[in-house]
Amino acid sequence: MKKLTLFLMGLALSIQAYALMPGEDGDRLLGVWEPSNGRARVKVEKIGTKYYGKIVWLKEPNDPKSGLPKTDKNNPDANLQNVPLKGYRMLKDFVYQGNNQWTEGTIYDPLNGSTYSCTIKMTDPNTLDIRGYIGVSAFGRTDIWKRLAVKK
Amino acid sequence: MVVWGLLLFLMNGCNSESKTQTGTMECAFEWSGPLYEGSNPAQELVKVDLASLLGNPVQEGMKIMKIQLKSAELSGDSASALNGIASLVLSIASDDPSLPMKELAVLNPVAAPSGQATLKPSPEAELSDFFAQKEFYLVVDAGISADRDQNLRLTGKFQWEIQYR
Repeated sequence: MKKLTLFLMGLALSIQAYALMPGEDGDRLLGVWEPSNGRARVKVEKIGTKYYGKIVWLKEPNDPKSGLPKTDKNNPDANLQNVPLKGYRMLKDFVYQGNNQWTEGTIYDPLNGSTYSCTIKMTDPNTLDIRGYIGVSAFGRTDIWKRLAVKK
Repeated sequence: MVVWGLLLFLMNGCNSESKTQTGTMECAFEWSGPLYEGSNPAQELVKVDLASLLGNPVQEGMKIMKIQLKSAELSGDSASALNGIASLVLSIASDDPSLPMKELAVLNPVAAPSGQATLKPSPEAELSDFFAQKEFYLVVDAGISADRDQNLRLTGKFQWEIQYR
């Protein structure tokens, strides 16, 4: 009877550990996400051990003046202003810290060419709190991003 | 005495002039089809080997001052290898949290038909911190203009300008 109890306890612990494993996996961030304004879609990919998000869809993909695909015309480095905006990595260098949080990264605003420090918190498998800030996290703004292909 | 010491220190400092040398590296980038319209990345892990890049052994006490990308060429297996590719962007990334990804060079649009592309490097990107690592990633984003089933393989030839003393 004792052996059976120990076996069942061990089995329960193994099942619990297995159930927790996906919860600790930073790759849950991978996928396509939409910011609250709905003007773009961002695909998160992994390069090495860090996470990056690039623009894969724009509501207005072309420059209204030239009619050509938009480029990163506000980039502070003039040599890179010709980089296509569709495909541009606006989220860079995120490191998974556990506890559903990715930090150490930056978010780029193509509308003004500014880069901000950023943290990402996954509040549920289909929702992200993206907090951009300058200096201290307390002085920032949080946007809610939704996963495009909802995970059930 | 102090003045003589200072003078000697300054003279010694002037003698250790920096040298500039270029080194070339080749990398292969592969994309497995099908590839979808839009930006498709390929990454290559580069093991840093300054001795091979400089063409001579790295001497003790040698200090790397500055490294920049001087030129970047991407070429395919045929004269039409780049057909259907609208843009090419080269970036550098590292697993080190203190090193943010940098865009290094861009070509937009890519002339067609073409089997080779010369990207325009950014002289603002200083890369000595990346070369101080054991390894880094070079990433090529190929902007595909229409879905394609075939694989894509490009060879990158990169020339780096290395300033050291």
